[in-house]
Amino acid sequence: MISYSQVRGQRVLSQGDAQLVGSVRRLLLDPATVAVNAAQLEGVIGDETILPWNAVVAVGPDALMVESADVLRAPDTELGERIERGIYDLEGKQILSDRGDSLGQLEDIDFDETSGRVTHLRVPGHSLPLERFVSIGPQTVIVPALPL
Amino acid sequence: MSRLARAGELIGMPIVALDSATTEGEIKDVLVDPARSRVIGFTVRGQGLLSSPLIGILPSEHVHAIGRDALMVASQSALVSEREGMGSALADQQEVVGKEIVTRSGSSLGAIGDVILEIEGAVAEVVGYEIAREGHNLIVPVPGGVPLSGEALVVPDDTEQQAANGLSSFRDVLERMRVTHSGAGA
Repeated sequence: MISYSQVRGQRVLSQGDAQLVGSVRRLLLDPATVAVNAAQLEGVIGDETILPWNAVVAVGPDALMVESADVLRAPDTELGERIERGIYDLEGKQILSDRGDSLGQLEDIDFDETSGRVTHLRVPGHSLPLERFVSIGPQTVIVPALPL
Repeated sequence: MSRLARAGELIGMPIVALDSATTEGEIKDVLVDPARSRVIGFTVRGQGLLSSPLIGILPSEHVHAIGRDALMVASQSALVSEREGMGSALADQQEVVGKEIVTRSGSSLGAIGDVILEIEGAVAEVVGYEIAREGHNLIVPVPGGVPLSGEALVVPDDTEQQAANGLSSFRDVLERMRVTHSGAGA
């Protein structure tokens, strides 16, 4: 298990030629699969900034490792637009249940580094187990209400 | 589990679409049908500014849930324009805040300051009215179907005996009345 805050800003290195590929700017969360499915990098030359999560071969304490910089791709129009709208800027978003009750402000997320599957959303003082997302918007994350 | 809330507390509450997690506006006003003791819908304004213009009507049947922090709808299309179907409902809507409550034998209990709602899931029912009094407010239970005009609301004589001075004691009043009613029916 790993948290978003441990990965943000982390270096990405290529195993093949030991080159610095870039560093993690933000993680791209897919609400449908409840998983981190890519990272957007900064410090990359060119517009191929998207690192698919399944191309990450190791998450070490000091770097994320990939086989080579060839795994990067450019964001498609739809993804670019979602990034622009702030959908993936998770920190500080309000977490709402689908019944309209606020569960707190998102501080961090816990996910499985191998599968990318998100297991918990962290809010001040709590860690909320997560089965699925209802939706993720620019300022709000909606999750199912806990059964009564 | 239902909860009690003042209609006035809902004003300014954001309206959030479940499909996109976006805020579509906020509640400007709660539309109440006092004759049938229910909330028929909400007027919606743009978020943030008190002076924001009306951007639509949200009929009650389009509401997914009325939460403590947001009113949830399936999607943005839950909001309708004033022209679409809600025209007659808006015409039926009567402003109750400010109206006088008078007992059947002719004593005035005061003017309505707020409407007390019982909210469960997506449904909000009118269960009482708050009367502003000097020093303390009074919440009285009012059954549906009581006579109402532009002038006043006429209630049974024992209404003031059933009054509570806060929402939690008003819940006890409601529970007691319900026990009495279901006991009589059994």
